[in-house]
Amino acid sequence: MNSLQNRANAVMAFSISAIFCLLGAIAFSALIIPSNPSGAVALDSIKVVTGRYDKNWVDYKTRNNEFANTIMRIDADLSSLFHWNTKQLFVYAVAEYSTPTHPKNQIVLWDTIIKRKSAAVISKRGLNNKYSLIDVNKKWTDVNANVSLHWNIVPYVGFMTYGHSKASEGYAFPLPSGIQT
Amino acid sequence: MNLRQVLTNSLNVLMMLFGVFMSYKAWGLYTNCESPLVVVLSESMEPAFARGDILFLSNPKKPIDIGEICVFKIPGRDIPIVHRVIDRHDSPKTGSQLLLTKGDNNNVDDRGIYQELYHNRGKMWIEPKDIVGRVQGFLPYLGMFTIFMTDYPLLKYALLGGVGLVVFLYE
Repeated sequence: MNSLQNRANAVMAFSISAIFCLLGAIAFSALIIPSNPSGAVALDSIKVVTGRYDKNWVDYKTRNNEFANTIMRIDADLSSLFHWNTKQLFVYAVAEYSTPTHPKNQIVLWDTIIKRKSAAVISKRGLNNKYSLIDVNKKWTDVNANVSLHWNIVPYVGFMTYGHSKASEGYAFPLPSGIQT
Repeated sequence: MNLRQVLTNSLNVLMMLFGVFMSYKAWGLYTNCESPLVVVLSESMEPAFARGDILFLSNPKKPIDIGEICVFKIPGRDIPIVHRVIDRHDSPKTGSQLLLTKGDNNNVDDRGIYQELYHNRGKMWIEPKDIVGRVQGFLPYLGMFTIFMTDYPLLKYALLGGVGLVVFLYE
């Protein structure tokens, strides 16, 4: 019973079980921590331009794609989401709208990664959208979009959780104003 | 080493292996996902996921929401890719969705990957049928075991040799 092999076996088995119990406790406890995150996105200006090329658009066949350039302001306080199991927060601003052909559309305008609680208060003005804002139908006529802030808590171990702020009021997209490219 | 002992040992090893395999497949049935456990292989989702992390997947029938991290395969390429959905358009005509993905650590979205193969040229979106599962849970570092096995085949043979030794010599 007391050979080296048996002892090593017993120690390994116990420590592995204990580690997994600890990881399970961390994962499940993170689900019940109370938090009160708050955030809001507002669009200060929307300009629609037509063109063939844009930030990260790759389909150059159509000459008259309508791209929207927005200037946003974002305010958020997400520090209550940082607890012992938060590895990082992935925060992204989403524009949501519906068109006659597609009832639900969501596009990410801007995103960032927050790794520390001290960086979790966001107050940004004059942000441009990071990615090309273009609809499936490549037209922005008659579109009314609302914007909201979403976040994803990436844990050290456990479950991925998501949350979002209330949606803003709708913004009407103007008609294209001139050619960009 | 007598034959009965060797056969008993082989039976025990095989029962263990098949038991694990059965649980894995049963879990796949429960989560509606062919492979509910994947290991992260690239750094395109850093700092969230590093090489060697284990992801738990599931594939519920509800529509894919924006921001969800999905594992998908491009038709013609075997390697699954774990990236985040950044565009979503629901299309009732086809009953499906048009999705665009991007790795957090990449500067550009995945259309370059979608269009890599000649027969996929012009592919601007992926659809839920290309998606193998969505990430629900995460376990760091433990997948380095499988990465070592693939990078150093010698370790694989050493492990098989070890199992062989146990089968033939354990009393």
